[in-house]
Amino acid sequence: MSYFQRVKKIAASIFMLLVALLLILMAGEGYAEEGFLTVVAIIILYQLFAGMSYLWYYLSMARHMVGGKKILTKSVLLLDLGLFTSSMFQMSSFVVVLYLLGFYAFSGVIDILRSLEAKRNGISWKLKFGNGCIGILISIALVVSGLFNNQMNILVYGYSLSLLYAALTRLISAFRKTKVVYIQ
Amino acid sequence: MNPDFHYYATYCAAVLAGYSHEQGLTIAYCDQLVDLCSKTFLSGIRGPLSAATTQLQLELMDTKTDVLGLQDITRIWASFHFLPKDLLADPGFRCFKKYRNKFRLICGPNGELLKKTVELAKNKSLQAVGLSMHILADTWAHQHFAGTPSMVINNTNYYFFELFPEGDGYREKRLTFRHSATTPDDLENGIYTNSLDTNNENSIMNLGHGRAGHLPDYSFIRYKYLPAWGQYEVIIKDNPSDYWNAFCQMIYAMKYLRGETDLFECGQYDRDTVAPYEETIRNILQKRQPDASEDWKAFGESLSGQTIPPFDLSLHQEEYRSAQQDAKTETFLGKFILAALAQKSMITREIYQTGSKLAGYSVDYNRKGFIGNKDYRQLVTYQEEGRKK
Repeated sequence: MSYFQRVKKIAASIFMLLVALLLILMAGEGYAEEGFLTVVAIIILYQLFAGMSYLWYYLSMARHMVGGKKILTKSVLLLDLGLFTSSMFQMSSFVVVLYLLGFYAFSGVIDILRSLEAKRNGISWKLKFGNGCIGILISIALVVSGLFNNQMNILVYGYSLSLLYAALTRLISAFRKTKVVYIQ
Repeated sequence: MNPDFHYYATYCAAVLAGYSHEQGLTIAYCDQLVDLCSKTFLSGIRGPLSAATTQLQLELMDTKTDVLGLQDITRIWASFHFLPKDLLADPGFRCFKKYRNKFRLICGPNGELLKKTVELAKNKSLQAVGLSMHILADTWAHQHFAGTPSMVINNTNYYFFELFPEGDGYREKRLTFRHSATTPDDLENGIYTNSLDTNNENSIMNLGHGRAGHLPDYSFIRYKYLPAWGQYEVIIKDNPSDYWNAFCQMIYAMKYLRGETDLFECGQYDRDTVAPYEETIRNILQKRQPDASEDWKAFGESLSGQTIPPFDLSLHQEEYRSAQQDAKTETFLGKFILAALAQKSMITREIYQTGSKLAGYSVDYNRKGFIGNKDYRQLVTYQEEGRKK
């Protein structure tokens, strides 16, 4: 990890921490739905920006590269996901929360897959694997408890706590020593 | 390339070119030093950091991949390890300038910049000769990769086969890669270490031949693969043949640098001098081993009748450290630093003149005076003193 990447990771962790705290405060004041819509808006902006960046990279450079279509696929998927997420604004807040938790569980699955890949390559994998498992478990627990109790606040608090956990693990990993393969 | 070729084989080539044992050792030492003269090393001897000819793993980890960081990386790797073959190369299809600029940094032998590199070392120190021999040899080993982080140029995929000569053709064996920095390459089973596959154009994982692992550094191996820039055309890399050409070209170049010939031309190889030793050299090159140092050392010692000491990085450090400021350029490492600054200055200039800022900005001292990096002051002073003499 370069110095710049480390700083970026720390900044992202702090931002996630702030969002989680804001959500908890808003839920305490009875604005749980608005808080979730703010999170959705941030996710939409991120997905659209990342999708556009990859699309530009494909058009300007990666289309000449062997296997460059993977960049195009990634950009289309991100843009599509951004547009899909934007449609969430018209849904009920319960669906929005379910979507967010689904999104969170999905990132947990990705974490597990990446950790297994890292394990195969002989590099550190346990922290990522733990993150993935906890992410999936929290998502399932929240959906089940939310459905049984039909209480928005439980979902908000649960989601905020999972966000806090993700932010803290990200912050810890930003200070971790990482091995970089470099061939001379 | 590894120390076996950069140190021991270079010594052999120098002796065959007519240099004495001591001169050959200096040339070989400086050839190998190019792979070790990092900013960390220069900090240790309190030398100018701009003279760095390589970047260590830890340094790369802390290098920002912003514009300035990328320019620093490109200046180092394009100048000393991946000399561009043709700075006016055209990819052969319509593309953005950003792509074309990176495409033009692809390394290859017998380019115009190689001629300029060798000519730059003419009438200079033995340190400059060693430095230029490193660059020459690397143009063969590192061809098809660029000395700048770029996924669209340096990336590779799963298509990698080792080729074993059999009858009139080759037997193929699929190669696999892993990313463990601590595990040595498994030559028997064809499992090699390479850098990680990322989707980031400017990641240092996509610098040089990192994605192809150490394959270009082994003299014995023949393989085929798909380079990212090659429009799905397979490249067959025949290292024993390339290393043989590199060795013969080094002798030709060093004879020119000694003054035996007046002209250095690309595509010329001194095969006559090497002819009596061809079988020995080809056997060393084709022997399946990760490090051929012992074989090259034995060959070198049989040529000169002298013992070749192992490479010692600390050998000349104290001399440089304890020298007075104005006498540093007269020390062993001072001469190497001057040669490195001159080479970096020349390559940055050449790349800049093509309209590319990938290696940074170049200022012409003769037209605009000294307004650049202060580390280059000693190079300017040296050149001016040379002119006065």
